[in-house]
Amino acid sequence: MTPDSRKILTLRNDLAELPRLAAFVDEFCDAVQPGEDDRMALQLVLEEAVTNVINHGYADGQGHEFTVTLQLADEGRVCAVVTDDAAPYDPLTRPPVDVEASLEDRQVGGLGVHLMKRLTQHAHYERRDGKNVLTLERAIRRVS
Amino acid sequence: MDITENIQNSATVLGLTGRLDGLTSGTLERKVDALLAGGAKRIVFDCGQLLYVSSAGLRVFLSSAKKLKAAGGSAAFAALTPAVREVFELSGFTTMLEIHPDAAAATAAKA
Amino acid sequence: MSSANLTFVEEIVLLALDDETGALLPMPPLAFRYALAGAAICDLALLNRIDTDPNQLVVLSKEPTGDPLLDHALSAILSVQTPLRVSGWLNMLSEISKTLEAAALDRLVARGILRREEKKILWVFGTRRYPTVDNQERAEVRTRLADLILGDDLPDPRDAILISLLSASHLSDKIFAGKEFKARSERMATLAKMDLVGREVAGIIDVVTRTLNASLPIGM
Repeated sequence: MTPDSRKILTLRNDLAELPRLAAFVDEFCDAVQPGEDDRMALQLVLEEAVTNVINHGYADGQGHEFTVTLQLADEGRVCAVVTDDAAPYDPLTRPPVDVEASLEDRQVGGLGVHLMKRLTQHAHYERRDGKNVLTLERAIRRVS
Repeated sequence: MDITENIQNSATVLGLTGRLDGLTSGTLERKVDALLAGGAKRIVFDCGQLLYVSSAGLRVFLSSAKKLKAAGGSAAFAALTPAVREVFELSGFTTMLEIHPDAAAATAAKA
Repeated sequence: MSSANLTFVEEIVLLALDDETGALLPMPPLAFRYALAGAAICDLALLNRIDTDPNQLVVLSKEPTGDPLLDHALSAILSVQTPLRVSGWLNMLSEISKTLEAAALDRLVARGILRREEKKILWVFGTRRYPTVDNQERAEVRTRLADLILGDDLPDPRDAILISLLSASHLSDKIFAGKEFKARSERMATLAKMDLVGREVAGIIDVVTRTLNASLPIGM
């Protein structure tokens, strides 16, 4: 995959979409060939980010669509952007999760913002054009 | 996958050609069961023409070896091609099963 | 209710439960999710819906199995159009693991092996024992696997799968904990290798642990 080739996934706000997200991330990684730890980190942070949108984003009980994009920003950096048009919601300012609680106790994807920040070099939220835009970047080691 | 069958030195040698996978492993399993029902005590799986073995194939190999052992007999695997050897090594089958360089060595060996 | 073999998903759920409390035994992060995902793949493989090798998972048949739990997993697999590595399939299926777990528990309660008391899941007979199935006493799986580990028999493929998944999720350390098992660690490792899906589950659980332990500068 060359830098600048962006992959976009459109998801419904339904936890049943998480398998599609996992397959999307895996497919992107098969092309980019990051190390195993990088691959797993991307899975974990995106699962967390998307689960947040699904669980905390839309409050009207209706079906909505939102997007996840993945891009190899340059040879050593993956950029993920989660964009949704729910009410303003900054996942990065949620109260810190009890990191001692077992992962199994948390909801699916509930690794916590703490971990999302630890597994990325850059995590940034902004409200832009009526949308929540969460940008996550991770430096990766390419192994191909 | 094609299966040839002949007797050498009281052992039944099954020559396997092609792919042993989820689509073909049932055929091999039925062949082994039939041989066992007929009283076969030693089966040699000649893998010299076997291009590919999947997890389904490995399971039939393992269950065949176990069934033969339970019947007081034994199974041996001969002439592993590189593809087959690789998956045998990955799964540790090389330490658990009887393996020979060719069918002749396998039929000559006393299990 | 079918009296046939339990699915691997049900077996793993049962084996992961503490004898007394019915709570899950401690496992590495996300291990249970991946063990259940691996169990579902193995169930579908034994039903000839899919096949695997070290590099890929292949769909052999789209025909429903008749088992809603496994058909849910099969649907998830069929919904992915692109080929993934086995670890990719495990990641994908780990996202439905809570559903698989819940369905397995419901089934085990319906079978009379477990019971629900308030919020707890408990063994019906107070001890790890299965009710008679098909007029044959079914050797308690833990005893059967213990004998396999302590002996030198070839495993049958089903037991190889179970040992492999238990080892991958580190449940084997908890279940087979005595001195006699510590002396058989090499045998345990040999048995655990024998199922390729179990090996992938082990690999991915190790990666999760490593990834979570790695410290990176906090994002800005």
